[in-house]
Amino acid sequence: MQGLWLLLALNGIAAPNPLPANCSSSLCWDVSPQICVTEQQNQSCQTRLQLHWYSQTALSTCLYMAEEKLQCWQQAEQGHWQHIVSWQNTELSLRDSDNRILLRTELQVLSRKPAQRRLSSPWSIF
Amino acid sequence: MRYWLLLLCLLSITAQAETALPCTQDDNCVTEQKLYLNIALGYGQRSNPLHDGDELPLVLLPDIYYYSKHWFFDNGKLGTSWALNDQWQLSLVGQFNQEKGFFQKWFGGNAFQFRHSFANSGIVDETEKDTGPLQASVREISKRPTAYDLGLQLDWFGENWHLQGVAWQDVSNTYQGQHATIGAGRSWQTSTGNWQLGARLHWKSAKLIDTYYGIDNNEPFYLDRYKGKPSWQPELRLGWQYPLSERVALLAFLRYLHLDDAMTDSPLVRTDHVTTWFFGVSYRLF
Repeated sequence: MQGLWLLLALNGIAAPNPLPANCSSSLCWDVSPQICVTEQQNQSCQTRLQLHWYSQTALSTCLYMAEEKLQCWQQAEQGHWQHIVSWQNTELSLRDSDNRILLRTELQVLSRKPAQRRLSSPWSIF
Repeated sequence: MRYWLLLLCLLSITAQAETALPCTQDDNCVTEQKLYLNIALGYGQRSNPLHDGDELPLVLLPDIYYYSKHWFFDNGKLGTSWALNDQWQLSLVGQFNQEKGFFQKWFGGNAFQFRHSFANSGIVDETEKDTGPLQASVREISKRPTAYDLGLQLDWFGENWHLQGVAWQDVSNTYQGQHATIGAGRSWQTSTGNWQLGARLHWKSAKLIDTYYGIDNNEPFYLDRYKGKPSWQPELRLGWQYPLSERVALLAFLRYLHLDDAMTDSPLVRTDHVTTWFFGVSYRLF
């Protein structure tokens, strides 16, 4: 287990991923994955979540999952974060020092098992 | 026997299907505790295999269903259901027996149609009587009963496949018999719309056939007597929907039900099949 955390830490200080190719604004990020598929309904998703943000100017920002603060950066032009986390439907946000939301991405959890299936054929009243 | 072979063939194909995947066929997925009501406006017909039995014109069709966590109502079928695992579901279900629909137009879903029903008064309009000596008109016989059935239904869901078996028992002490259906269906989503193809095999007990299609001594003396036998009836169903918007879709379906000797031997029965078809536009109210 310690080896795993060490590996994660090393990944955290490793060279960041290439910048998002489709970044056309002054601040953007790449979050992966944004959709997780679980076996059962209402099951939380546990997987490695990673993101890379990039800004044209230096920013002091913090990363939040819902209202939980995950990591902060001081006067940085880019940041990289990855961790194995457990989530249900929630959102990631990158906020400035005044807690204003700069970037926001929804994280969705889908279930392999459908909510319910019809037990009669459509239009079967005749 | 050939019907069993057809179904075995379908089952063997299905056995290769993958494990259950998300419910992607919108028509087959429901959100619990939400009422669904679809209305289709168009034109179609259900043929009537009985002598002097009127075809049923299909103009305004409802599709109504509601599923809660433990029970459901779906187009006249009321049931409670248990998920045995991801793919198998067992249900206790109840509904009015559909056999009377051939004898009385204003029955169940038939009530949505516009044309007047024919009488069951026993008074025969001689100008419409076209039955021969070995034939019996639906207008000449006594009224057929309304029956309510309870059944045990087993469903299997694959990626695009659905298998279903239902065994029904009359619980209204009306015909005092049973009937059962097994079937397999498959769905496709293509650029030409959503397609559904299904095959079913119906079995109906001698008591059911005798109650609805038998001619006993309570019927007019000049009609030939007929004692019902168990009946096997295979059915093919083809459905198509082409979404035009979130709520509106083009809708068509074609169903062919074959009637065996147990039905066609009855003096009441004119043809060995029942065809149902419809083409129209469906609108999802909610």
